[in-house]
Amino acid sequence: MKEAKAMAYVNMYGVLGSLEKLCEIDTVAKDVLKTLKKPVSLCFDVTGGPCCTFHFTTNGCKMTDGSDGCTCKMNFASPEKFNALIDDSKPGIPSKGIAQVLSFLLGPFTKLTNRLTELLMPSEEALKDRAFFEESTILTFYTIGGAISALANSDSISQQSALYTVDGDVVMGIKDVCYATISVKNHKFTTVKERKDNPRAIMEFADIDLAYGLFNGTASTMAALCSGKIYMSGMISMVDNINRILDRVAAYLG
Amino acid sequence: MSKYPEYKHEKSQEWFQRALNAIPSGVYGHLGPSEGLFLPITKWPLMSDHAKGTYFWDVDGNKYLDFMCAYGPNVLGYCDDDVDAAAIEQLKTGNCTTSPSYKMVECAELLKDTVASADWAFFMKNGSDATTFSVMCARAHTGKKKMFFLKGYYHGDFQWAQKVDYPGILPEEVANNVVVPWFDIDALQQAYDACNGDVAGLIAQPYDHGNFKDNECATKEYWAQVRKFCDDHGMVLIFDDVRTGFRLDLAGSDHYYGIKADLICFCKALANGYNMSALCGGEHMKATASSVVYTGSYWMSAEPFAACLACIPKMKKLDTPKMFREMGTKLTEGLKAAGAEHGFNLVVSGEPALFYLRIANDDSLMLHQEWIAECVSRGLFLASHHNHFMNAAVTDEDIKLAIDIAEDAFGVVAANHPEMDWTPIK
Repeated sequence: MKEAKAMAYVNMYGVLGSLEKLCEIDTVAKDVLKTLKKPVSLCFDVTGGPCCTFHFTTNGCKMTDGSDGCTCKMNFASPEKFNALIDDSKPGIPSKGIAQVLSFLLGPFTKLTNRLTELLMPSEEALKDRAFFEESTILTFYTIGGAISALANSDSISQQSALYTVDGDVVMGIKDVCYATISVKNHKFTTVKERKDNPRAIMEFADIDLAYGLFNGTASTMAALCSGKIYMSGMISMVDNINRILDRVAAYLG
Repeated sequence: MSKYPEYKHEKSQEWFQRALNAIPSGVYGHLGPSEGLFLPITKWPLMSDHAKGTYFWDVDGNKYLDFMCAYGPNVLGYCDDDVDAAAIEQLKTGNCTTSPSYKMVECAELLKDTVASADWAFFMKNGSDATTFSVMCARAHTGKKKMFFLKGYYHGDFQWAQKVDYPGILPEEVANNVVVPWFDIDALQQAYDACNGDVAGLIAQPYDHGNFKDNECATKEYWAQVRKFCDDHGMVLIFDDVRTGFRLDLAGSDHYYGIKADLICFCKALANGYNMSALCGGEHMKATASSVVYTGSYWMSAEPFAACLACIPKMKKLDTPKMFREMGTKLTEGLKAAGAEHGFNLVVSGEPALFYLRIANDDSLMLHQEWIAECVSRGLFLASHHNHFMNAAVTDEDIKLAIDIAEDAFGVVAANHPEMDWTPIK
């Protein structure tokens, strides 16, 4: 039931999109960035899929739509080819800044994505370290947040959920830890990795342990709702639709 | 400052924890905290102990003036003496038997005599049973595939009536559902053309009473146009009167809107809480209904028929639709005025018998949810985002009490938001 094009959007906006937060909160990633001799703006251009540029500096990473400002670029002939980059580390075809692509891709980028993989697909052993556990859960949260909008805009079933979603901002978050805002306009979703003011709806998990349990399926959403550990208010129909998309996120990222 | 102290729900919570251990979701569906939108859950009762008239008592002993009426079945009042006596008497005589009781025949005859478009009645248990059968009949009758639905539809929870993004639903199961907007005949034509005429029928509630939005009543003109459209295109027109049935018009909501549906589905108000539903139809649909294979283990049990045979005559005697219109109007005007006194713009929509409420001071509905929660936790049971239901046991004193609790709750919410302007609305 996964669609290759939708998977490519999830990989771009969900998985690679979390590089922004990785570079912001993870010391290993920060150390990798320190090795950059000059800023690198790497564009992934997927035919029939997303096109985004990741701007890396020694201070962090910022993701933008399109190829504006890219210093190097890698083309993928199809969503499937791009998905192979994420699944099997198979690169695309460099089309700009070829030397930079190769050196960056094989060096810092690989280190960053390896670190991202460690955090998003953690071992049981690694999770025993509380700091690692928290960081892993936070990055998973942002990955899911990005994937929600990616699927709402590209997955044929999630698009039906989007069709019934009214305009406005939905804030979702882990209380006092991290927040994202899903902005909906004319059934198009955009994820911003911060809490916006005056949302139309809120869905907030009480703590990071609950969020982890919900993300990996060991905690009961219903039990959490009933014990007040998931706080919801506002235009609940928006939250309902996002929850349906979350089911699809699980299918894509599970 | 509130003259109605907040209820506590300790025993409710205890029972609900037990429920969670034994039942998926504890209380699933519309009566539970998730679909029922108990926001926050601490303000709501979760398990009832007993009920009478328009009140129920939860397991903590809290008393609720209830305008949800078990989401519709309570039409005469909980534990109505006449209906219960008929049902209990029938239980002593026989209930689920190998040959069905003659009470089924009497019940079908009563519906024929009561519902304007009914030349026959076919019985089941739940609203979903009736809507599912109606769609099967429409397809069997026309030999066509697609079904039209009006936007925001709800026709039960069987697979065909859900949406493609719901858990457990296959795209194939809803592939023949075509959703068209309300009150737009041109859109019906466009959708029909897009289907190359392969359309079995249209199923709709009598007016747009979707959730999370103001309800929008239909007109006789609209339904006359839809009736003509279906006739012109050989489509079966199905009225889903499960929710509205017998509350707008004892002769059926299609009669209320001046038309005859080909098929009409009933459930909630048929038997004042005893479990039965019915599909009624015109003579021209009878042979088709006979041809469709459809039955259930308890569908011909006699007890609900006996209850129905007591319920419908009593509704006729009381003229409940008139009563509900008058009482619903009185109640909602009182609620609106109470809100205005405190600076709340309470929007009332839909038919008075099934009124829908929304506080419009903010567009997030958060204030509305807070007000509903404060009402419920003080003994006035309302729903956050669903239409309400009137019942025949409501008195003028009950309406006064409801308005008083509501006013008190408005005051509580206003006090909780000193940052907002609560100038009374003239």
